[in-house]
Amino acid sequence: MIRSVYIVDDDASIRRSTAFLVKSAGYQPRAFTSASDFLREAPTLLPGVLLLDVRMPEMDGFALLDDLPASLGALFPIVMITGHGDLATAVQAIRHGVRDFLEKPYEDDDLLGIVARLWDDLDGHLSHIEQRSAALRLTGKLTEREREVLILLAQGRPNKLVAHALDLSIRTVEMHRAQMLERLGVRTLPEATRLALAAGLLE
Amino acid sequence: MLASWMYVSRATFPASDANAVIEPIARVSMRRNADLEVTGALIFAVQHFAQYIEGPPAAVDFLRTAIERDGRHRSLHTVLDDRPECRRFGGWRIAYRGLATYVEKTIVSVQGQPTAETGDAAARLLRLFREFSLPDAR
Repeated sequence: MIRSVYIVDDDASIRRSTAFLVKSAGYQPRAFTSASDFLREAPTLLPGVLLLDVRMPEMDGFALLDDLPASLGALFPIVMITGHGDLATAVQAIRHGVRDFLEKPYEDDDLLGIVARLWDDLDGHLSHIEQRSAALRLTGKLTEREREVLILLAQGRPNKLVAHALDLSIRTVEMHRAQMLERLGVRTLPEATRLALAAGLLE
Repeated sequence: MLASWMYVSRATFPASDANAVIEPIARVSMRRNADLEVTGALIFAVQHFAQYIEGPPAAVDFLRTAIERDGRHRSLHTVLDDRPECRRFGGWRIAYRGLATYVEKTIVSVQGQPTAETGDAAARLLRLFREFSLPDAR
């Protein structure tokens, strides 16, 4: 799997050395000379960690934070990097969604440690999104009635109570139940319950 | 009369369990601290905790005993232990929880420093709490 790391810095030598460093650690680097270049391409980029220089001409790192659409924020965890950081700026950045803050000069291992941690976190987030959309695809195939039956069963109700709640016969509930399992492509109720949970039907 | 206490400590649980561990801490503390008239803030960064609490001395003592016994952290180090004239915080909340090594470094830098409010480390940590608790400026 490609693990991207995006570098936004107006200094060519920093773009080069940082790209070299993350590439040597197994990541796929991609450098941008400005925040607006990154923003323009962001919707088509694979998820990845973004290393962002605070001070740049035209658009600084903070402006990028404001302009990055919320839907993309979770796909590009940001590390803000600065030569003249202070506590207030760092906290302000973190409160605006920056995931970590690194002061120059830094040790290579510090940067790589941060990237590794944020990529682990991103992996978890991406697999959660993936599971959710797979579950939504499957539960989307259910009829309204089957969905109701699934939700009630997943909440732990026996067929008899489901029948009562939906004003159906037990026989009919059993039929919907069998049809529901088949449409979801699972054999047991616990498997169907996991899908209902992942799809957010029980929230 | 008011008492305050600030400490830093290290989590005993793996990072992958952080959400499951912090959620109940937030729930229980929010209610309990309000009942005890204790205000302050908690920070959890990567693998380290820092917390500042203030309130009636008996309440702060009571919480301190419970916190010192808590198995969810270890290497607890008291950074500040004073009798402030007035409260530094209006309520109690989790000021930050996340993966920022910047925040963790600030916490770790306090470990092993002498316990005194005049200590730079304590002042820096208090500032960290305050910066996270300020009304949003931007």
